[in-house]
This record gives sequence, C-alpha cells and structure tokens, in this order.
Amino acid sequence: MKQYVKPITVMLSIILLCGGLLAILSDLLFVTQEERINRAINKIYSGEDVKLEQTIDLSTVDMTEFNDLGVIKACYKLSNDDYLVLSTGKKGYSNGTVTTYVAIDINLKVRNVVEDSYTGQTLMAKLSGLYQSFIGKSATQSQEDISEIVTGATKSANAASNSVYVALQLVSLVIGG
Amino acid sequence: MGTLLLIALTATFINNFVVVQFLGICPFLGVSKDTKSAFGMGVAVTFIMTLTCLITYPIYTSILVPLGLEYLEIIVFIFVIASLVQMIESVLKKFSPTLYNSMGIYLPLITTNCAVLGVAELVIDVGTAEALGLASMGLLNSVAYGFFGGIGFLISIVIMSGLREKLKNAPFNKHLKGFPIAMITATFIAMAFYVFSMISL
Amino acid sequence: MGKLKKIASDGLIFSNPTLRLVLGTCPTLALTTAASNGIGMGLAVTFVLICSNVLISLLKNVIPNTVRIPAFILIIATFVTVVKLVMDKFLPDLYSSLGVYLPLIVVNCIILGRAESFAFKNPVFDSALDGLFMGLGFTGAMTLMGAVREILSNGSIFDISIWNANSFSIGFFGSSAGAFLTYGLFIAIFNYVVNKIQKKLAKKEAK
Repeated sequence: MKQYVKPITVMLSIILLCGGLLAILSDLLFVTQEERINRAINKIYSGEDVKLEQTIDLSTVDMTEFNDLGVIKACYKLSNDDYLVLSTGKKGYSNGTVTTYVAIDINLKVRNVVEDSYTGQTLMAKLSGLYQSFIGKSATQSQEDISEIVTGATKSANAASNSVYVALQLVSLVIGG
Repeated sequence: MGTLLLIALTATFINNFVVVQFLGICPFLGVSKDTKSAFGMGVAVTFIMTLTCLITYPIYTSILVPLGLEYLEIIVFIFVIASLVQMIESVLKKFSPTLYNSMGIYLPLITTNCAVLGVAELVIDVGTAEALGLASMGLLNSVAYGFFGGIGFLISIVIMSGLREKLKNAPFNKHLKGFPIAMITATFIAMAFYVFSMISL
Repeated sequence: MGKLKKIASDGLIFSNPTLRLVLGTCPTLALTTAASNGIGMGLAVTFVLICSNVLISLLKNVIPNTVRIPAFILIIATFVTVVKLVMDKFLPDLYSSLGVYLPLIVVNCIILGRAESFAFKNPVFDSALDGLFMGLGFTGAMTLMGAVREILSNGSIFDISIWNANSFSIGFFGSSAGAFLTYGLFIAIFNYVVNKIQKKLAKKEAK
C-alpha cells in the first residue's frame, strides 16, 4: 500500500498546482467578444476614432437562400454609420471555410476586410493582397463579379469572396428592409 | 445519411489526416517499413480515434463548456487519450492475447500520435462543422469523423508501406536513404490525394 | 565551457531535432508555408521546451519513476495552455494562423523526448540550456524551410514581396506535396553537410 502513496500525492499536487495556475491565467488573459471586435475595428480603421454602437438583431432577416455560400455570425453598427459583419464563407480550397470581418459603408460598398479565422489549408491565408482586392465591391454585384479578383487562385479565394458576398447581401437586406 | 457520406468523403479523402492535414506523420514515417505492421498500426489508430471522439466530445460539450473550463481542454484530452490507450492495452492483454500480440506493440506509440489529439481538437472546432454545413457536430457525427479519419490514416499508411517495400533495394545515394526518400515518396502520395481537393461538395 | 559548446552544437547541428532526429514532423510540414509561421511556432515550442525542461529537472527527485510519463505530459500540457492563452491575448494573428497545431505541441515528440532523455537526468541549468538550443535548432530549421517555400510559392519573404507573384511563382511548393518534397531535400542536404563536418572534425582530432 505504501508504495502507492507517494506517486498519488505527487500527481495530485501537480494537478492542483497546474489547475490553479491555469485558472488564474485564464481569468487574467480572457479575451471577450467585444475585444475581438475592437481588434478588427482597429485593423480596419487604423487610427480613426470608430466605436461599436449597437449589435443588430438578425432574427428578422432571412438569409436561408445564401446558406450554401456562407453564414452570418453577427452584425454590428459602428459610430461612423458603417456596418461590420462577421461572416463565414464556405466552399474554399479542399472545402475549407474563411471567417472574416467585413466593414461596409452606407452606400453598400466594401470598406475593408480582415480575416478572423479559417479552416482547411494554410495556403489561402497567405495570398498577398487578397483582402485588399475586395475594397470597393458593392452589393449590386453578383457573386461571380466579387470572386473574380485574384487571377490564377480562384479556388483558394472562393471562401473569402463568398464570405464578403453574404455580408454585402445581409447589409443590403438590413438597410433596405 | 447524406451527412455521414459527406463526413466519410471529407475525413478520409479530401482532408486526409496524413497527407493533407499532416497529422500523425511520426508513425506514418516510422511504422511504414512493411505492409503488415503498417496495417496493424492503422487499425489500432482507427480504433483509438473513434473511441477518443466518443469520449472527448461529450466531456467537452457537457462538462467543460457549461462550467466555463474550456482552458482545461488540452490537459483533459491528453489524459483521456493516455488512459484510454493504457486501459485498452491491459484489456487486450487479459482477454485477447492474439489481438494483443498483433496490435499491442503499437498502442504505446499512439498516445503521442498527433492524429488522435488532432481529431479531438477538430471535432470541437466550429469550423469543421461549418465546412460540413452543420451548426455543430453532434456526438454521432463526431464519432463518424473520428472513424473515417482513422480509415484515411489506414489507407495512406498502407499505400506508403507498399511503396517503401518496393523501394527497399533501390540504389539510392546514401544521403537520400531513410527519411529523405520516404519524404519524397510521400510527396507523390500527396500529389495523388490532391485530386480529391478538387471535389466540390 | 566545453559543456556549453557541446550542448549548443548538439542542439543546433549534430542532433538538430528537425533535420537530424526527424522529430516534431507534423508542425514542420504544416506550418512552413511562410517564414513567419516558422518563427512563431518555433518560439512557442522553445518556450514550452525550456519551461518544461527546467521544471522537470527541478522535480526529478520528487517525481517517482512509475508515474513520470503522466507527470511529464501534465506539465507540458500546462505550459502549452499558457502559451495558447498568452498568444490569443497578445498575438491574435499568429494564433489564428497556427490553428490546431498549437495544442498539438503537447504531443510533439521533441518535448517529451528531451524531458525523458535529458532533463530527468541532468541539473537545472544544463536542462534549460538544452531546451534553449534544441528549441533554437527547431526554430532555425522551420524558418529556413518556411523561407524557401514562401519565396518559391509566393515570391515573398516574411510577408515582404520580392517580386510579383502573379508573374512567377511555383504554387506546388505551397501545397502539401511541396511540403514533403522540401522537407525530404532539406534532410538530405543537411545530412550531407553534417557528414562532411564530422569527417573534418575526426581528421583534426586524429592529428
């Protein structure tokens, strides 16, 4: 019996120590959703004084017809009347997805796009200038027009452009309706 | 049914664990010298991956998330995997010595196999579910993802071992022998699997 | 002094974890699409390696032999979670590009291997140095491979464009097949160079 006492005490004390350390750290380092949004806002409007104003209620907006292309995660109104949409685009390279923050101005044109996360291959994330090429695209353009941006890499850019497309459609529904 | 078919295609071929997602490369290179041991390793990994998903997914969704303990996920998962492997080893030793003799030697290696921890992390990731067109995975789909991911591992390690058996006596430069030529062989397997990434679901 | 030199040359060259021992292959293949990923992952692994080596070396008289592997894994998993939390807070871009491979540092054979074969038998300071140089060897190899693949597939290095990627780039090196090929050739070339160095050193000693 005695030979079990030491291993068990050592393991238990290590578990308690590690658990305690992690609990403290995770409290200190917790990243709230609001902080993530502010990070995206800072990236999009580098330096300008733009703040989150309200979260738009999406329960009344019907986006089911776009379900094949992408999903809307959230939509926010900003203090400079722009809309910020968090959307996931599907059908990327090897069926990956891309989640982006898309900032759209009151004239339904894309102001800027930043990447939040992606699944699938790492290849597409590094396409230089991919997100800048969406700037100025508008909600009246078709999905093909929006995806026609990066030559030779259409497949990898697919998920990103789908994400931008559904974001534009959402904002035009929100403003129009 | 359609979802299961989709998961089978995605986990086995399109996002093959070994040659597309680079999970479980260590056994893929280390235990692929002959087809028989490669097959044994593949079966053992498939078995453990399925069981891991069956246990970690409920633990994460119904214990860690409600209690707000998501930050413990890595520790909990690796402990589940390590104890699972240990348990299966002793169960096999006791009740099925024949199976233990053919599969047992690969079991200790599986604890540090990235594919097993990788599948536990992937099934709780929202992105995996979204790529399949689901809001969240659910237990059945997670287990299916684990099983078919394991099958994908099995297929690629068996192909690899077959190729390496053929190349065993080929006259290579001595600096290329061993790992380098194994990597170059894997290059061609990866190129073959590249075709599947063109499938649009 | 001789000891420091030995630990350094072992970690960086003669037992370089990536190119000589071929350990920790999963992140090496997956994350060398860009040089900056290589540095990020390498430094994360180095941090975990130093911390776990130091702690395990400190506790080597306390941890009983029978439960050493679970204890090692627990300690490593804790430090990986710390890295994950810190990176999510302060380096969100890197965090999202490392993705699922960050938690997988736990099962990275380099860390468990060094804990078992070095830290559990050696004093604290040596273990810390071993962790540092093994980690740097890993970082160096990953960054070099990342740089080669990034230049060939994207015409840039550390996200700084060298030439226009639309006019010339070899997309193959950005794909998974290219990862295997680059890694294989790197090991072959490194083996060749190290063999040359070892022969030279042996000749020197014979004199």
